[in-house]
Amino acid sequence: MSAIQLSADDEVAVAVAPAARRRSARWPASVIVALFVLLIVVGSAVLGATLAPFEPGDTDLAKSVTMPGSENLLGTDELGRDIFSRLLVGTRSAITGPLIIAAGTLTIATALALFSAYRRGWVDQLLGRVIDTIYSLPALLVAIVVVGVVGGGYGTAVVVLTLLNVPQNYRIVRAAAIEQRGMPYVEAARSLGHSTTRILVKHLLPNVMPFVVAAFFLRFTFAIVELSSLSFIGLGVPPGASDWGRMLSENRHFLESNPWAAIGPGLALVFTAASANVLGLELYERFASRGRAR
Amino acid sequence: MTDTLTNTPTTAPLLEVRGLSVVARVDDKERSITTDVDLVVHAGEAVAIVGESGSGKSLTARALLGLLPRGVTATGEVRYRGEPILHLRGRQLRRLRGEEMTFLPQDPFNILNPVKRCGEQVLEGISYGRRRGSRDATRSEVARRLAEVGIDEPRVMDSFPHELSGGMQQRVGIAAALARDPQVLVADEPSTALDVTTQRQCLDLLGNLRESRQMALVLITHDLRVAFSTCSRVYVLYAGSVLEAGPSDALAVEPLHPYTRGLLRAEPPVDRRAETMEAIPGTLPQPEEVVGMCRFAPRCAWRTDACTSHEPKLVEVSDVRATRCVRVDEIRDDLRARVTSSGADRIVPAEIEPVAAEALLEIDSLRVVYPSRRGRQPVVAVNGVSLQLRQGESVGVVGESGSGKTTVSRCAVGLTPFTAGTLRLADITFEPERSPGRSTRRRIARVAQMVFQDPYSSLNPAMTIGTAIAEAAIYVPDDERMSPAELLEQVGLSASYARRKPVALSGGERQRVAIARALSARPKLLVCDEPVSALDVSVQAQLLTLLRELCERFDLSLLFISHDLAVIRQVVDRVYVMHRGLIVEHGDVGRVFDEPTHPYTRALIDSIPRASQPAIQG
Repeated sequence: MSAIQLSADDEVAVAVAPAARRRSARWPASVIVALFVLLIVVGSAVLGATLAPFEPGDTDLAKSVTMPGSENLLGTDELGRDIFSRLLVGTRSAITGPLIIAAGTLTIATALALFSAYRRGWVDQLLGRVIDTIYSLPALLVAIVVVGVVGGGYGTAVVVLTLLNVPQNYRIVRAAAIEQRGMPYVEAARSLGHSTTRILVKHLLPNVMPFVVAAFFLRFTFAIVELSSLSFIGLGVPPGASDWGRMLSENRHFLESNPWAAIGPGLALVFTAASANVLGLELYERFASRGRAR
Repeated sequence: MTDTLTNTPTTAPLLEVRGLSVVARVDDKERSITTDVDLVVHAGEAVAIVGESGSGKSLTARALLGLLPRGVTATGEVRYRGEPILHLRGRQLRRLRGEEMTFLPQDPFNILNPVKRCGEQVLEGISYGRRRGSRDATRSEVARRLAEVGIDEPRVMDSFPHELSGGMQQRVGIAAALARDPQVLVADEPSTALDVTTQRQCLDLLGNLRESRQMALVLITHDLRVAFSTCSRVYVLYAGSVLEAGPSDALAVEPLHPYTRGLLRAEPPVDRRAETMEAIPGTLPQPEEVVGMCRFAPRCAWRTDACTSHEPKLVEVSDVRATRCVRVDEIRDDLRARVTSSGADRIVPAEIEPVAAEALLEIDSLRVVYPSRRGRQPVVAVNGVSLQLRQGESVGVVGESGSGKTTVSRCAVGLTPFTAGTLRLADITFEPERSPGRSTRRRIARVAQMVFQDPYSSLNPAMTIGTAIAEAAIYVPDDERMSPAELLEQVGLSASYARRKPVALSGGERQRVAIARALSARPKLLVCDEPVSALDVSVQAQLLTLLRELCERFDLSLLFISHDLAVIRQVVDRVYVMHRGLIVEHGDVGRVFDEPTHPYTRALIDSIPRASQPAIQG
């Protein structure tokens, strides 16, 4: 009987509301660190090739598997290639694929989700069934099979992972859009005679954006790991290319003689993925607390 | 000081609150919710705490029972039977709650646990800390308790909450709250979410229970009429501070604070169309905006430097009355004169209908049936409604929730497809069973625009006000188009609002923006679905006046949907009374309200709480 009903109480809402507003005024330390990490990652993705002290592909069998030193910051691998340089240059393939996957998945998922949430009826039903069917496919497994059988490497892997991850993101965005769709402001837009496209883009999209952004970063995080997994088992990037997953796989054989050859790319993966996740969460909270309809 | 603010000064008060301050802590910063609230409740007495949103009335009530949400703390003194109770925790607090004082939360639809049968929920309280008796004995005890709140049907005991109406759920909630026979019942807006007819029953029930149990009732409400009709004494709360306290009958005729007077005057009269509706100017402040001065000063017509230089104390004026107005002696007659003069307002006759004018909206035998879902019966929302609205006319549809009035209004602008009948809006004939396509919607938009009930969700939170208003005009020919600045001025807002987003606006301001957006499409007809029901009383009158002016200025027709007879009387010429999907009566608003022919209309009018009714003496 005496349960407190926060939502039903205007005054409580008034009292608590500024919490969200003030929250966005400062950046938590974790987010600053994450931003810093991502800045380095993006920087080395752009400038990696010029900054690298060595050509990433240059072999020097005289220096096969050396420990970190003043010349080779993270040592060398079996073929005497500089681990640090390969790490820097590998950044590009480590993040471009995931970026394309995350952007592609979310674009497709959001477009479909907004449309079916707004239209409802048979459109929503049909799309939902198709999406459910795709959802039943294990994305990574299908990617392994397709890339392994059809070939095509990195590009194919990116396409497969983009398409097969649409379902879960479709569901997230659709759930958010359905909540907004019933709001009077959407009906107001309808009764103003606006076109469906306009309502979707100008009215629904901005209000589901927090979810899209959060899903984008989550997808990015997982895609980093998925693509690296593919490289790790030898699919995706061609042999010899500088790629974190591939380095992890090739260099784990001589962990005793130069552990950094495997730990380096491993840490790079972990830090990049974790930072993206932290930033995504923060952006979600910021978006969500900014001007919600009550 | 407050001891004297009672009808029975000889006995010690049951509940005594002195200097209660409620503070919310947000990110290490304190926000004051209420300051220095004094209250006295005697045994068996009915006391109302009246305030608009942000006044701190709900949190004050919660503070009494230690029910404040996390991060909100109360300081000051709360004594129950002379014992301080504010510091109580754990077992002591639980004994106080339920056994001595109990709380009835706001929303009747959420006060019961949805997965437990109603009987169990009442029994839970009765058997708390005691051994349960035999099955028969407990069942008859629960039945007795339910009968006490007016539920005679034994099946209710075995029903789940969702099987009952809101009013019934509330009764069960009251029975459960009273299970341990408390001395004080604190009820937070018990009647607000209910329909007028049920509202009346709920208030009567609370009054009867208080009398038969000799229990004290603390009623939290925003509605002065409700307070006056149920309680013998009233505390008026504004921006976190008590501005006036006194007996209901005295307060009703002679307010001693300009705010109380403003509230009384802002209440639209149900028996006539007021020539001018007097609204309190401005909007409700946050408590911290009005620190160090009279809280009402920024909106007060009698303000002087003395009002803004320091915060006045609550001063007793007589044995039973107190006010925080420093100028009460000077303006006393003024306050009284202005209240009583309201009865002398010239009655404005409803405008004579332009007979020749063609019908702008013509609805004939409209039926709306929502298809059955999962084996349930199809719901007939509207069952053969005919309605005409001529060019330049204001027409109202009044009814309780579930009467179908909103559905009719939504059909009129093409938001809800109808099942059968005919509907014509200007030269557009709607087809049944179909949502209009884009081109039809655009044609409708040029004729009719809708203003929705909830101003908090009818504006896109991601869009600035200016963009929203400008966007509404994109299909309007250039020569008819009005700029956002012009439109904002028309609805009484400054042009600078165009750059703001809805979140920065109060409810009343948002509703003005919603009206501006509707006007931006330059329609001939404005369809308003309960446009003021979500707003505070002091702001309601402003909006009604605005709507009246705009109709005149823009030569607009108005279809006005409301459950509130007093509100609807102020704006429409003709009215349709709806009940369960049917129109039971229609005609000139004066005729229908003053000489109702249908028993349902009669019942609606009778259930309005009236300030003039004698207060139940405690």
